[in-house]
Amino acid sequence: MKKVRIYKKYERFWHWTQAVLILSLAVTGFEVHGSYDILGYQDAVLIHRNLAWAFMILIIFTLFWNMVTGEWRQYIPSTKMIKAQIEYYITGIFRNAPHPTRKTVYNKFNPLQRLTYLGLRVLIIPVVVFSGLIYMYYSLIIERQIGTPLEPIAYVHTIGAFLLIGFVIMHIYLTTTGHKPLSAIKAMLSGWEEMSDEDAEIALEENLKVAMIESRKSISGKGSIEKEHMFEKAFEEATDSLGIETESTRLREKLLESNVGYFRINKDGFYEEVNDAWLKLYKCAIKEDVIGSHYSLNRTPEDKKKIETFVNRVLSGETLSGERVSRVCTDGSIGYYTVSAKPYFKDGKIAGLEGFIIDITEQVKAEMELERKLEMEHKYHDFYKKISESEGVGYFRIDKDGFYQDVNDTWLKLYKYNEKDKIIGKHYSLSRTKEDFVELKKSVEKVLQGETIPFGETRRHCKDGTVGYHTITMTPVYEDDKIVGFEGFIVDITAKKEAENELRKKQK
Amino acid sequence: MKEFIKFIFVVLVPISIIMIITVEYNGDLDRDYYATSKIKIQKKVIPVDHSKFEVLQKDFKKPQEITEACLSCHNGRGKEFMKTEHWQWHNMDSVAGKGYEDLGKRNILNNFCIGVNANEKLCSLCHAGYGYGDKNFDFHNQNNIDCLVCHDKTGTYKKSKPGTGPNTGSGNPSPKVDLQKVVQSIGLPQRNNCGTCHYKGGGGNNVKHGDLEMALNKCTRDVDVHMAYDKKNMQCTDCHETHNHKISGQLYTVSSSNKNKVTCEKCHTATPHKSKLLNNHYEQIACQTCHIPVYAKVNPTKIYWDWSTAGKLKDGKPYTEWSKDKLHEYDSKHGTAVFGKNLKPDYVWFNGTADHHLIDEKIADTSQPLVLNKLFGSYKDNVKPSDSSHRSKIWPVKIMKGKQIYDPVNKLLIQPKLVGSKGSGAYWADFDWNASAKKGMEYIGLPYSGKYAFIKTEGFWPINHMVSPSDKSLSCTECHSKDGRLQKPNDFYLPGRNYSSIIDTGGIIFMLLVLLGVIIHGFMRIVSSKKTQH
Repeated sequence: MKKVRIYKKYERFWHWTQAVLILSLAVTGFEVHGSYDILGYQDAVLIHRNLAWAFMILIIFTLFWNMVTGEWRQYIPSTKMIKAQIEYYITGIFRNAPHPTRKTVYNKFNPLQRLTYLGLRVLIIPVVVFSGLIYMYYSLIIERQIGTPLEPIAYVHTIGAFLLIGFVIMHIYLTTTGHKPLSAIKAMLSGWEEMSDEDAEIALEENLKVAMIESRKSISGKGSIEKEHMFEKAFEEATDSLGIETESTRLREKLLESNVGYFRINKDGFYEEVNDAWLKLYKCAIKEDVIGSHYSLNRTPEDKKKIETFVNRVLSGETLSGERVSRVCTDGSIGYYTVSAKPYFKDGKIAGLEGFIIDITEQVKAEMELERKLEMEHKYHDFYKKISESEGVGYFRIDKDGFYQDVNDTWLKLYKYNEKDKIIGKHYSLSRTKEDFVELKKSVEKVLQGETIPFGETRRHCKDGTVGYHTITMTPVYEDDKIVGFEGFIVDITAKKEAENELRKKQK
Repeated sequence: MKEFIKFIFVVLVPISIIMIITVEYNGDLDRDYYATSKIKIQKKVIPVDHSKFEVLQKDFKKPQEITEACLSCHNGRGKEFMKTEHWQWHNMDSVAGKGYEDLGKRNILNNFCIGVNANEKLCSLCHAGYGYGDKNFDFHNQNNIDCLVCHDKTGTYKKSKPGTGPNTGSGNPSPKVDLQKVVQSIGLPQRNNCGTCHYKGGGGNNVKHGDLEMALNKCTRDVDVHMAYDKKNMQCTDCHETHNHKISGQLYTVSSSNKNKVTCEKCHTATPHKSKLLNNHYEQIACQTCHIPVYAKVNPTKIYWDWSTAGKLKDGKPYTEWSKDKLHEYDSKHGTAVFGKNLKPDYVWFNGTADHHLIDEKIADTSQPLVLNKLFGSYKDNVKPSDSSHRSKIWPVKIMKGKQIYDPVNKLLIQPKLVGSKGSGAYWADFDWNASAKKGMEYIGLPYSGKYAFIKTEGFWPINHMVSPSDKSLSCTECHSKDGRLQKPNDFYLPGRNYSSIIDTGGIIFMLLVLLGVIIHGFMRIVSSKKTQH
């Protein structure tokens, strides 16, 4: 049995506050309804009103939280697996069959829950809240100005209350269907849910995968540096999940296999383990050269200091993520990556740190160049010369009628062309589907009016018929102050897109 | 441990704070709250010793001489007083749907002693004048004003019943009264002065109103917070402000329009409670409704009067019989009566105007109880009101029920002649309804077919006095509950009282079904898990 982090702090706060509020509202509400006499009528009315305001404030906060964190996506209804879920509750549960869906931090609800909670949030709770508000101000506003009788308003409010109580009964009962009868309630209290080993392993992987994708998205997405905290956040969740329960080798193996650069450093600062991706990023061909060497090797002086504090902090027990550092590769070039690390334990003591790095060199370079170019007005041609020589970035120039004038080798590689001549003079619509072309055309028109579009996402059709994804940056080309065409660069993000699609498939 | 601490800070502490705030926070405090302690009662005194005046040092032979003496100094007061209803006993007032009608004691029938006409000799026991013995009384002679009945401070002044001595009845003073003494101790009216008449309407203490009776002369706060002799000790005129002998206030048993009212909010304002929630009630609930939870607190009041059983005699003589609890009476003169004590009022919507069954008005439906003074108003007055100051409020009333004589042919209520000597046709002497009805109707100039019967009637008496201390006023659930006292009026949705039985029953069945489903499902899970283990 293992524990997996499922619920965030705010969610736990919100859930239990809402639970207490709804129950107290029911107790006081039915007293106002005349069902019994507990608190005294006047107190019941006043407390019911205060509770109602607290509830409305909580709803607004939660709405905001859901919007900002994107958690609202958890409520998007899906019909897949709904039959399986119903069948599970009707028959499977008695045969001790496994749950048809799994709970992860990024997909907490099964399809039945999604439907129920969505119904609660967009239908029942709003109806109860609005009828309650009207009820509260009835004699001051409605009766005087509109004249609607109180009766139907009170009836709607009462019906809503009964439905909510029905929900609460069902909800409490269904919490007992977890790994153990009390697992779900414990999870809602502590944030960590007990699961069988197998389920936990899968849930952890899911959590990690999403964290990775989120982080990549934030780095290569729109080129904005500010978005980095999103990555930190996502990674924190993931490492947090890794933190306590998993001495799981399987997970580490996964990391080692992945194209994320993995490393482990012992407490004295010497590399103990790196994976192939890491070696590739550092351009060190031989693993043996790295293992046993000190991490401060091959750093620029300013970075050395930065990394030192980073390592020391992690060794003192912190988990850090998204730190942006540069490296001097073995071939002398400078690269950029983000590093995330956490301490790892042996016999309850910190034995070193491990973590992963994500390469953002091309991105950073492009960003830096673009910033410089934007600073130096439009006519800085040197930029594109540099870009066209770059290996990771595809360069192109198109005239104002849409025909290719120039592309570089990386561009050809990405589009899977063998020769330059095959594309020069062709229209850019060639490598698009119709809808993609319409989208792109809008952007092109903007660029031809003088705008620069940085890091848009688009899809390409390669020569061999495969589909790829890249970010695209476009700026106009000037000749005697007239726009004669546009040029730009593309950075491939196919791998990331595929990972995302795969995940989406899995979720479904 | 760490998890537990986290749980405390993430869940327990915020919830506790929120719950403490929601329970403790009083968002209900009304900033316009007007405390009772701010109200000042001004006590008036007359800085004059009337016993020193020479004009009053006479041996008065006739009561009219006293009035003359009074008016010799208080000139103009006589004319002034003769304009008031206490003198005129009639009152022009507009009745909705009927027009400008002559109401007042002289023109209205009730279901107690029915009417003044033909019975003035006894009824004028309460007239502020001397000699009102029949309809020929000179209402323009100011010497006939009875100053003493209101201004006597000795408490010994009394009017006489007819036939108790020479020159008695018709509002003349009792021969036993030492007029000399009374005249020399004159002052502003006290509770007992007003009470002489207003306590004893209907033939005895508290019979009529139910909220006005002799006990108020010396009562505790529990009976009436304003008049409690050991506390505020307020006099009638402290509220019923009086200018030029015109006393403010009116009752809807003899008047009909929304004017000249004495209101609680004149002193207490419309926001007398600290609680907004309570002050919001002001718009639809009369103060009296909550603050007079019961009336007839000390002595019983008459609530039912059946004239139709009157006239039984024992050995040819009228008699009176009381039940043991002193709440049921049979009297040969009056018929059957029921009294009640500590009564919960009935409640009606009331917008300040009332209808009246006029003396010459045909009874539309003799199969239903005839309402003598219907109080107008309904909840609808308050829904989108065109004039929001003219709202209806729920008001406490005493509903006086009775059976009284009427003419089934002409469909008129009958004014019987009750008072008189044997052979005069007076019912209380001859016990002959036919003669009594004939004489009475003849007296007021209305036709009588020669046939009489009895009809059920109802009179509505708004309750205004005997205000209880605040801790005795109605609690919320007295009305806001399913079996509370406010069963009527029920033309609106009252939280706590009204509910839809379909929704409530449906809701409970729904909850039980869910619970049952859950129990069955859980039970099956337990059983099946045991099976798979074995």
